[in-house]
Order: sequence, then structure tokens, then C-alpha cells
Amino acid sequence: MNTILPTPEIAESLTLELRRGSLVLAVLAALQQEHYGYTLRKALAERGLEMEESTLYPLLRRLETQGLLTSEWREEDKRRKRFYRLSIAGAAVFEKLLAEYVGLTSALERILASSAVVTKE
Amino acid sequence: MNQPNTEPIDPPTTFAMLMPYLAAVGKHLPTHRKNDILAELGANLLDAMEDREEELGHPLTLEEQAAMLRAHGHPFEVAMRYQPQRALIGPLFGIYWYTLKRATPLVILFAFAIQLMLAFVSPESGSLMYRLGLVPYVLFLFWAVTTAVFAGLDYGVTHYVGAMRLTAQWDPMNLLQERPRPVLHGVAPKYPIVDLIADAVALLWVVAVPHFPVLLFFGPAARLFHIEATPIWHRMFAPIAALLLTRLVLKAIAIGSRHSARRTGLLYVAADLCSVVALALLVLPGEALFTITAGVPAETETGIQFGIMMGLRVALAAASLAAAWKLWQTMRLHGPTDGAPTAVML
Repeated sequence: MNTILPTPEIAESLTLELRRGSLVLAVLAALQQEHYGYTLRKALAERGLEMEESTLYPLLRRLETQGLLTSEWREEDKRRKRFYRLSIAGAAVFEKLLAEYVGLTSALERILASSAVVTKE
Repeated sequence: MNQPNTEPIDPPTTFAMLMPYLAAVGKHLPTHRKNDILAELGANLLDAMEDREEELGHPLTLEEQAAMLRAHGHPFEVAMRYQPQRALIGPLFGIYWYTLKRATPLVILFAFAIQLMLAFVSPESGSLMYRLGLVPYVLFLFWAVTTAVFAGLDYGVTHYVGAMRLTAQWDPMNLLQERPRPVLHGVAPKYPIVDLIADAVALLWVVAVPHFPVLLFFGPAARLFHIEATPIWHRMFAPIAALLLTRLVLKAIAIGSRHSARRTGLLYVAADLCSVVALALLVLPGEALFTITAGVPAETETGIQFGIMMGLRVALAAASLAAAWKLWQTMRLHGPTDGAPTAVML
């Protein structure tokens, strides 16, 4: 059955879809350095990627279960915190994802550039 | 795969809303991961709240804490994000699972009650055993229909409504209005659903014994004897089945209870008393429960009868003591008895 969604909702749904894959890549990239949940969220936000806490923290758990992250409970500022870091398997997966992302972005740039030329003509 | 570390929940906090919030999230988390997840979530939220205080230059007011927690999400939604991702039901999986958990005991109960009633009201529609055999089928049908309905709803939400937050109207200030919850240690069963299913099986067993007296024996000895149930089973069958059904109903009500801990505890005590009375009906007349018509010398049969009767008497004494102990524990609870939502199942 074909369904026609209102345009803003289509856009919102596609944006979410686009973001979802990029978030994993961003988290893996940021966790080349050790972070705990809150500082990771701040680090991502400082670089322009806002992420809901209730999305980020379960995502860290999932990535750890998949073996892409390792974690360790440690005390910092008199408080026990769970620190995450990219595992060896995670680093390998990250390399692959990054290569894919770079390929996709450069292809997209070429497509956008050629569309711009066509539009100008 | 990495084994996740575990850490007990610790954070003492000056933020009045944080602990009730974490407790509310914890209610929907799987038991084996709960403390670990809450400890991590608590530490992260504490840091976020302290940063917010620094930013504002003053301690957070309750309204400011509530705003942060509202932005973080409804406890149910937050907890559901820690569940594994599913293919058939996505965003609504949490509500779907919650519905199944809550409704399954009631469905078992009603299916049992209706089939028992039908077996007595209209015996020509099938034997009691046949009717009770339909209960798993009803349960399976309920699960299938519920799953199909939620899969449809989920499809609708994802394709027509978009990524809506079903609990957007939630107000964290309500967390502070909830009263402290006394815990029903040793009164409520640790796994109420499993307990309810075990009770349903026990009821099934009692109902089956007059038809299959061999069920009085468990194990290889059963097939050595030719056993017949004595009249006491038929005489006491209706009251015992009614008592065990009442016990099932009381426990099902207790599982969904929103009443005070004391009232909920009393439901469990009443359920135990039903078991005590049922056992007493069977044991106190002192009649033999079965006869062995072949294969065993008279002295051996007397010995077996004595052993079983003694076992039942011990069970009656143990059940009576357990009911009395639970009653004592329940009456010691200092929680409100005015029907406030303070019951906690273990």
C-alpha cells in the first residue's frame, strides 16, 4: 500500500535515518579517547553534534555489548564513573566505517557539484 | 565479547528529584542489569545537574531539576531504550511488553475460570480435562492477537505519526508526590508471574486427580499400582477447586495492586489461607485419599497411606505457619493503609 506522508514528517523521518548512522560513527571516533557518558556527550556537543542523553547512554551499552567498546568503572572527582574506550575490534570497525563514510561523502560532493552545474546552465 | 562490568548503585545526592527518578526508571529495567545501569545514569545526571548549577550560578530549584529530567525523558521511555532492538515491534515495544506482562496473569485466570464454569454448566460441551487443556490455546491466541495488534499500531506510529514521544505530557514533579514504598519482603513472591503459573498448575493437578488418581504419585512407582481415588476427592472436589481458584484470583489482584503494602500483603495472606483450608478439607477428615486395588500387600498399602497422610499433615502445618508469619509481617508494615499506591512486588 502506498502512503503519502506530509512533507515535514517525511523530512523529519529521513533526517533521523541519516543521523542514526552518523551518530555511531561519531561516537566511535570520539571514543578513540577515553570518556564517560556525560563528558562524551559534552565533547560531541562542543563539536556541533547534539545528542540526547537517553539516546547516547543506551547506545554506549549496545556498542559495548557488540564488542566495539570496552568499559571500566573508576573514581573521578569523588564519584564512581563508567569510562568507555574503543576496543581493538571497535577500532577495526571504525576504520571500515570511516572509509565508507569518506567514499560516500566524496561521491555526494561530486553529485552535488554536477547538479549545481546543471542548475546554473 | 566484553563482559560488562557491574557496579552497585551509590550516589548520595542533594538533588531531591534524582533518586525518585532513578527508582522510577529502575522499575522497568531487567533485574540483572538494573543497578549497573542506574549507577551509570545517576553519575551522568549528577554531573549534568552540577554543570547546570554552575551555569546558572545557584543551586537548582525543583522546577529546574524537573525541567532537566523532563528533557531526559519519561522513566519508562528511558528504560525501554536499554532493551535490545526488535524488528517486528520497534518504538512501541516497551508498551507491548508491559501489556503482556500485566495482562497474561489475568488472561490465565479468566481462561481457567471460564473453562471451569463451562465444564460444570454445560458438561456435554466437553470433559473438564478437555476444557482445561484449552487454556494454553487461549493464552497463545491472546499473545498472537496482542502481538499482531501492536505490530499494526507500531507500523501506524512509524509510518503515519512519525517519531512521536508517547509520554510527552509527563511531569517529573509527580515523582515527589509518590510516598515511600514499604517493601513486602517475604510476603509477596519474588517472581509473582511464575508463582501464579505454578498455582494454576497446582489447580490443574487437583482437578485432574479424581480422573487420573495415579497423579497422586510422582515418579516410577506410579505405574506399579492400580490406584483409585476415594470418595473424599469427589466430595471435597468442588470446595477445594473453588478455594484454589480464589487463591489464584487473589494473587492476580495482588500483582496488579495499586493499594497500600499492607492491603496487598493481606491479599497474599488470604491466598495462603485458601491453601490452608483446602489442605485441611483433605486431611482433617482422616480418610484415605486413594485405594490400591492390585499389586501391593495390605501392610505396604497402609504404610503408603500413612506416609502420604503424614506428608499432607506436615504440609498443612507448614502452610498454616507460613500464613501466620506472613500475617505478622504484613501487620508490622507501617505504610499507609488508605489505598495510596504504595505496594511493591518483589
